[in-house]
Amino acid sequence: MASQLHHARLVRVVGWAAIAIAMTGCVTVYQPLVGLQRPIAVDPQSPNTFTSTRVLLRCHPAEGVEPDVLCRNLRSSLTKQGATVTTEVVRPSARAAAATPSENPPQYIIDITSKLIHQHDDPLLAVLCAFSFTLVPAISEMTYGQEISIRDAQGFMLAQQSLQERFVESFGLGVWALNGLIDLIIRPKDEQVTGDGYKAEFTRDLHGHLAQLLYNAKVRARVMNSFAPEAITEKPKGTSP
Amino acid sequence: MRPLLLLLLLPACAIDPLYFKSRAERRNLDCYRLSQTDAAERFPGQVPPPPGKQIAGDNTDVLTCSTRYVQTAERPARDEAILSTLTRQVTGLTETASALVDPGALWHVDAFYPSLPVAQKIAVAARTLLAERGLPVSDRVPTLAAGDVAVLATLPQSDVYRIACARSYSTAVMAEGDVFLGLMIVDAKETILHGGICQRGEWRWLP
Amino acid sequence: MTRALLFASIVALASTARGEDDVDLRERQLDLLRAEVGSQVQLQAAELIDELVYGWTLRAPFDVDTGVVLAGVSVPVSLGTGLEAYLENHLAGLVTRNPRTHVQLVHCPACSAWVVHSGSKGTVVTRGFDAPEALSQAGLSSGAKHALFLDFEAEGSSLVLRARITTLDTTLRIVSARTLSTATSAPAMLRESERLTSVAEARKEYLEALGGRGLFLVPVRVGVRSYAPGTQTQINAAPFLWVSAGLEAAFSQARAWTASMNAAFSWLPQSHVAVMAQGRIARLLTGNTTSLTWPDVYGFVGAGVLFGSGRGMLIFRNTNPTIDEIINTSTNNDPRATLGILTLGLELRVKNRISLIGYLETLPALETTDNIGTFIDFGIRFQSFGVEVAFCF
Repeated sequence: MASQLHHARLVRVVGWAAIAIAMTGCVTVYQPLVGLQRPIAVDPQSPNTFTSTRVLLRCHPAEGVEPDVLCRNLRSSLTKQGATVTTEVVRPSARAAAATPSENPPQYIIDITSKLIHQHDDPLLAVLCAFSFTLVPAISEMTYGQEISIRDAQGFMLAQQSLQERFVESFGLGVWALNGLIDLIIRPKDEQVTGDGYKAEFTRDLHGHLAQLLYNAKVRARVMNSFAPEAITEKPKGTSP
Repeated sequence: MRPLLLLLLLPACAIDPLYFKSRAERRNLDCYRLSQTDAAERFPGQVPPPPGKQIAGDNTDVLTCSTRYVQTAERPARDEAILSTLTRQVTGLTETASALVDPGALWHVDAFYPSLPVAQKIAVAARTLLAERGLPVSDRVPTLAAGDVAVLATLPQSDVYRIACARSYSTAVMAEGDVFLGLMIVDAKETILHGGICQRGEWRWLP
Repeated sequence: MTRALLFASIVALASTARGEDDVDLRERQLDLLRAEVGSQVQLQAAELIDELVYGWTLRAPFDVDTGVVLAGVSVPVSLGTGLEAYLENHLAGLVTRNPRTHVQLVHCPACSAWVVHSGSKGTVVTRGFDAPEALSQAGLSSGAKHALFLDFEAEGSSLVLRARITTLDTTLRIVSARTLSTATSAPAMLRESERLTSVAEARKEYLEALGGRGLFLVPVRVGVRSYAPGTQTQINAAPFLWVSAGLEAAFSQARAWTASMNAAFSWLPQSHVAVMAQGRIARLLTGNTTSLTWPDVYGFVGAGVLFGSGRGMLIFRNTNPTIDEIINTSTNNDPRATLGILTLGLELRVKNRISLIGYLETLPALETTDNIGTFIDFGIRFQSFGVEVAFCF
């Protein structure tokens, strides 16, 4: 009888734990630290901002960030704005490829390094989270930084910027449920913290600032070349040589 | 039940202040990281000094945030972007300009920007920086005749400054020993300043 | 069912209200932010002028007393012009009280007025100080030979002052220029205008004010402890009025952790006389360091020993008091009790001077007795609830 009661109690506890973990979500808050909160003047949604602009995007690997994913996302953003983008993930162990003459060499070379600068996970909260079936949230904080530089084809530095952002992630049923309720009742749509709103906000900031930086670099190149029009070397499609 | 309720209070000790800030508040902060030792020195009433055993291998840092004086949406985006970085940009341009000009020249400075108040801020920043560097600076802005200005307004960017510079010397608006530093934007959607110097009738863009 | 309906209607109303008030909410948030920063701009701008004038006292821009026209004070783009008048007055007050600067402000209304000047080269419309020759021709010149310009600009979280003194002649040469900046995170030093000091000295005074708080305090507490009524007895413990004094030590200037020992005394005629020795360890809950401007909240745990004698102590034992014991009037045979106490509480303290304390106590020795009831049971029976007011010296 006692063992049956014990078994029933164990099943009940495990059941509640499973429900709690299944319902658990993450609440992530994004905070721009350096540069990302500054306003921009270009519209990153405009498809004509970088028409006839050829860009080589080089992503350098660093701790905590996948350069392939970074290159892919940024390439997509610049392509939507009319640029012709080639990407290169710079591997420190790979030998430098021999320079092959290209029909349409890039006009601008963007070097971007994104790395994890600071990370903090509270071990006490993690333990409490486990023992409380995620009622007490486990909180981790991460700060990332990006170093972006843009040069022209001759290697002359046109623009440079450092960006930093911070993400505070809380994992747990209690914090997720409470914030979900507040999001439903009180917070306006663009203030909501549950869901992936933080990703969209950060992406908007990063892509916007990259677009602004490239635009500034283009204008600077134009001024340095005494306002000479950019040489168009790309052959129009459909014409015979 | 009561222990459960008590347990729910524990997260209050760990909640980051970010949760209580709106999106506008979060974006109106300038933040940077300092080691706890440096932070305790700079903010003695707010950051406690690290324990002695931690100082030698100090790896605790403090996130220091300051509220921006003017909120992000208060000023037009381009104006805000330029004014936020005004000192840095103007310092770079004046340093480059002063390296290219003879030490004894008398400096005149003006800014060309769509918004007059912002243009005045840019010009004042440049004049003050040049004067602090010990260079002779005049507050007077060389002014061409109204007819010349009307003609210059019709010229493209690539020519206007060059021709205005030549005209200034030919009409004796500027003397031989004077140099003019112009600060401007060239495109409506850029957020950086360009500079050029006009000396002895020749205009030169700053690198 | 009723509760569910009520909750659902609240959610529906709130959702509707939220949609309509998003814009208003955002405007209110911006207004709050503006108000919060507006006062900081004023303080920080005054701080920059203090620093400028202090620099003049160390290295005066002129060798002798010189008349200077305050030609213009410009504030950050998008901020109102009300600040200009305040800053002009502040500067005038500082310069007047610090004659070592050799700067004497001169009144020249024509200098800041618009002047139309026609000559052989055309008609020029300008401010008076941009065309001093026109002013002198018109006889409107104040006689001052110099003009002072102050320009403030908000660059992110920094407020920058650019000050320049120019000559009031055809050359308009800049004879003195200074750039100063401060950030919202740096507190204003609030220096006295009669006794301007450098930022380093003002900061040293600030640190001394912080350090002067000392690590030790003497808290004197007056409070009341009440005990939950028992279930199996016809008499209940009367509230105990306590007066205590002790010593509190902080482990650092931040006062994040403190420990205290105190001795307390309680007396009620014909009821009891009691003494108690108690120790507490407290942790600051509202940050890592105490605040100079906001109240601090501490959480503490404590342990103590209470010794009391008198009829009022009859309740503090595991057996029920008898009628004989209750009506016993012999003073040679007062009932006595010695108890251990564990305490858990919160303290709201203001400027390390006065605090309000609330706590719960458990008496382990009386865990099983029904003479005293329970206020809250967290698995541990808290039989006593108390409040205190403390004065710290």
